[in-house]
Amino acid sequence: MTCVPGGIPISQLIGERLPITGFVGFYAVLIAVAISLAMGTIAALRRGRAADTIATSIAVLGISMPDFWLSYILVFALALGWHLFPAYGFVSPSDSPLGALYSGFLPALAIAAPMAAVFARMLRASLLETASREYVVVARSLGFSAPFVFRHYIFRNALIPYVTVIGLQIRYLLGGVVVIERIFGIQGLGSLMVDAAFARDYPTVLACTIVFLSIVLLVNLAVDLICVALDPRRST
Amino acid sequence: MISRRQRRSRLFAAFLGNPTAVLGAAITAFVLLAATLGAALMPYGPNYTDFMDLLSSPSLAHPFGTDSLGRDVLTRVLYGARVSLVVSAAGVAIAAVVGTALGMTSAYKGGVADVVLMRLADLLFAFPSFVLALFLMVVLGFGTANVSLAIALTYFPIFARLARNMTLLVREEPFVQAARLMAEPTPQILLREILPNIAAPLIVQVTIGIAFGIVIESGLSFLGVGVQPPTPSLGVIMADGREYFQRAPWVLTLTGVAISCALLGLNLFGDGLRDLMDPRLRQRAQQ
Repeated sequence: MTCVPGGIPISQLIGERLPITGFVGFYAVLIAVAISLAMGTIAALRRGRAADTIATSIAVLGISMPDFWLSYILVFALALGWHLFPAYGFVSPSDSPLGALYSGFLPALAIAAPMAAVFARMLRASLLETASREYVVVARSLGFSAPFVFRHYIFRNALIPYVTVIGLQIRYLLGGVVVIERIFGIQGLGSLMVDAAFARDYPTVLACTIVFLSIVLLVNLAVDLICVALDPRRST
Repeated sequence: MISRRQRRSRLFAAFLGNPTAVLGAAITAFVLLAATLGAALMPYGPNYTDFMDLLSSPSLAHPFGTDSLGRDVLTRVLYGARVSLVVSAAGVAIAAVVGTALGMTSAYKGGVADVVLMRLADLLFAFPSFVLALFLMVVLGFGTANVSLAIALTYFPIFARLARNMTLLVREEPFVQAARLMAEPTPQILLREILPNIAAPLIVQVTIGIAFGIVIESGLSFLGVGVQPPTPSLGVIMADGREYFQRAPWVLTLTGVAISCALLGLNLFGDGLRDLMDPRLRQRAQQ
């Protein structure tokens, strides 16, 4: 199939843009995981204290900020205010990997922040749940040190619901990518889809939708495999 | 046995004891009041233009400033919140009614219809919601009513799945069996016996769903494929403010604050309600 304006094969268009969207999406997941691991763990360890309250409040605020609105705050502060990052434009990772990491930071952060909030809340709840299990109490009563119990008994088991939520949130991440790519002028799959929507280019819109759907399915397959690796009981 | 009134007052006391729910309800009430009464009390109309007063910064006359056509931004935000809320609530209402009806019937009847329906819900559930909504807007055409329809179509699988799971739990309860033995017609069993017992999680889902709908609406309108200007919706005003956000940052920023307010209220309210409905969490809170 070819797209309506220009007659370029859609597969070629998607082939060009998929790596860019993949890069931004993966970057966003990495940032979200990094932030949420730190925030969720701190909130769970310091349960009920100031750090927990702050982390939980940030998480609630994060959920209440649509990513396109957050991206403008980031642009205001980090790009226009302190000139730390470019406000617009994106260097393709195939041209310069470092440039892509640098110019992609703000868009990736804007997509990542609301997700990080969801992940952190999930991790906190999951850590607290696991910490109250009997085998953890037993491990503690055997005299293992708190860091040892945390690492070997709590953390790994608490990761399973956390990883599952990451898989579920991929749906929202890809939705965010569509808007964020428009705002930052990233020539990825999302901006291809929006441009096609305005041009009433139905075949391209349909193709993009199917590619997005396939990404969700593949990521969920990967999540299932990771869960099996974390908990071998699930392999049967 | 406790009477219905006692149960209600107990639930109300539990509600007052849950700061999240109270705060969420207060913010939501404020947003609703602002979007209805507040919008009506504004001295300007949402599309009233004053070409002598373009892009003026926030002042007493214009607390949120004016936009590039000299329209009062606060008035537009209040009217926009009304549009966004109505569009989202309409979409979620359709999703709730259709999804719940399908989910309950399919769980109660079982068989082939159940399998087909749930696989269909799984399929819709696999789409990134915003991408599906964008796709639907292209198929249906841009415009306000179609945004509601897109929200309804992306959100009804959630209601269908929830209603199905809850119905499966209640279906074999003695009171449902009794109703069946008394030859109550199926629609009556579903509506009178089962629905009241599965309503709580559905109501929580409606609250969270309206927040979800506002995000979808503002995202679509922000891209220009949702509500069409000059009708103000929160997304439309933000898209507008984006054009000149370096010269007049207040348009985009203050509209964003308004969106966050609405979402924060609904999310907190939904979270609080969920805690209240969850007996395990409620017990823990009483300990």
